[in-house]
Amino acid sequence: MMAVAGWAAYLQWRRSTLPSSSAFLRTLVGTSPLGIIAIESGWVVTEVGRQPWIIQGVMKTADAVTPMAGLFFPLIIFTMIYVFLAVIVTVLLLRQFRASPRFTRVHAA
Amino acid sequence: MLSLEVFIAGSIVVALNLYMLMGGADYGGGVWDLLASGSRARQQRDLIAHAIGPVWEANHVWLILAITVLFTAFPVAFSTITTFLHLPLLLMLIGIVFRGSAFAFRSYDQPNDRAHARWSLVFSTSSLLTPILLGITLGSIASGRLIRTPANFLEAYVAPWLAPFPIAVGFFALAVFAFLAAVYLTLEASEQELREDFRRRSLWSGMLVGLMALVVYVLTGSGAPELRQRMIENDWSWPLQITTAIAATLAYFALWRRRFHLARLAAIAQSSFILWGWAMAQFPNLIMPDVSIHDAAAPLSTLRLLAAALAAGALILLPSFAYLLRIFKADATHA
Repeated sequence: MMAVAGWAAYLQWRRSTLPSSSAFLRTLVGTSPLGIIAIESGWVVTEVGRQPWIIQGVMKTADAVTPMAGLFFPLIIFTMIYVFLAVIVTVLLLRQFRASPRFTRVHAA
Repeated sequence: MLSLEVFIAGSIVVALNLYMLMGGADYGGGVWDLLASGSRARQQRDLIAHAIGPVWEANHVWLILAITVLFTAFPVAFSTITTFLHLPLLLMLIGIVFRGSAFAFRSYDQPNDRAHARWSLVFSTSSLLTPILLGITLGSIASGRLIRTPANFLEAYVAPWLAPFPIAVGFFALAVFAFLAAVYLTLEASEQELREDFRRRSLWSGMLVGLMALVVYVLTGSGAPELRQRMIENDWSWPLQITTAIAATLAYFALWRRRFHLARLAAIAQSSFILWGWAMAQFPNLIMPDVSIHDAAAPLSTLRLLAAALAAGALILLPSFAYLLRIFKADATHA
């Protein structure tokens, strides 16, 4: 991501306009998931890497869990809520794209 | 006197107070969305969406602040509360998530009535249920029914909150939030008839607040005896109750006479006194009957750091909040 931003800055400096070459724009499209990947990778490193400790050297995750029985149900409920929200957000974003006038213009061209 | 842990416990109540005045009114707005009726139902709903829209995400800051300060400064109390009240807190969390998402999805889904109605239903029912669960949680803490050595699952995770007193406190909270929302909305309304609609609603919900206060008080006899004892014994308890009653009467009078700015001030005062009345009755316990602020407090160094963080945070947060409210709320009240 930093490389792409650096490339854009270089192009701007050279041509003093915002870069709009086809190669650059395609690269931009390719970099869009990189942010999410970076965030999720960071979280995975932190949360998986710390196991089996929740407090390094002091307490294990298994000891820190709430003693309530049947935690399986809240886990399933939360997972389903996340899935539901993800699906809805995707559907709504797709609808927004399809309804936008530029979409129809680009696809007609 | 005012030791550091008492000061921090007080800041939790301040955060809850601000949550009630701002976020609570958002929930109340959702309730009135559900109960919108008459020929102006659509306009009522639009007004509510317009009033909540810019500020609802920011309002949840206060709940986050209260919970964070609780687990930083009073970890033992936090673990007891969140372990045994896992179920109502879980449901409350689900309610908060669905309320926020439904509100946002409503704006971004297709602009047809069916989609709008579907999200509105999710939004308003979760706005109805969440205050009840919040009240149930606070009621369970105040009732002294959290059993630290329970015999089985039901006794540990269900009995503390599925009882008349906590449930009554839940409905009491709902009434207070709905009342606050209706009073605020009289000032948000731009047309005379809409203002009258919400004036009527605030009068009805104001009566419900009084009724629920009585029900809750009566139920402390059987459901929260230690709390009742404290309320009777404490010196400042009766002055506080009387002040609350004065504020309530003033609010009612102001609403009746259509002095809406005064009504809003009085309603804010009344609901704040109700909350502080509960907090002062519980003092010095965080959890009735025997977990005191002093016992549950974190080490002094933690408390000092936390107090410094609270002071620095307040310096940033309070002016920003005032600015936010001034931008989005100033235009409505020039009525």
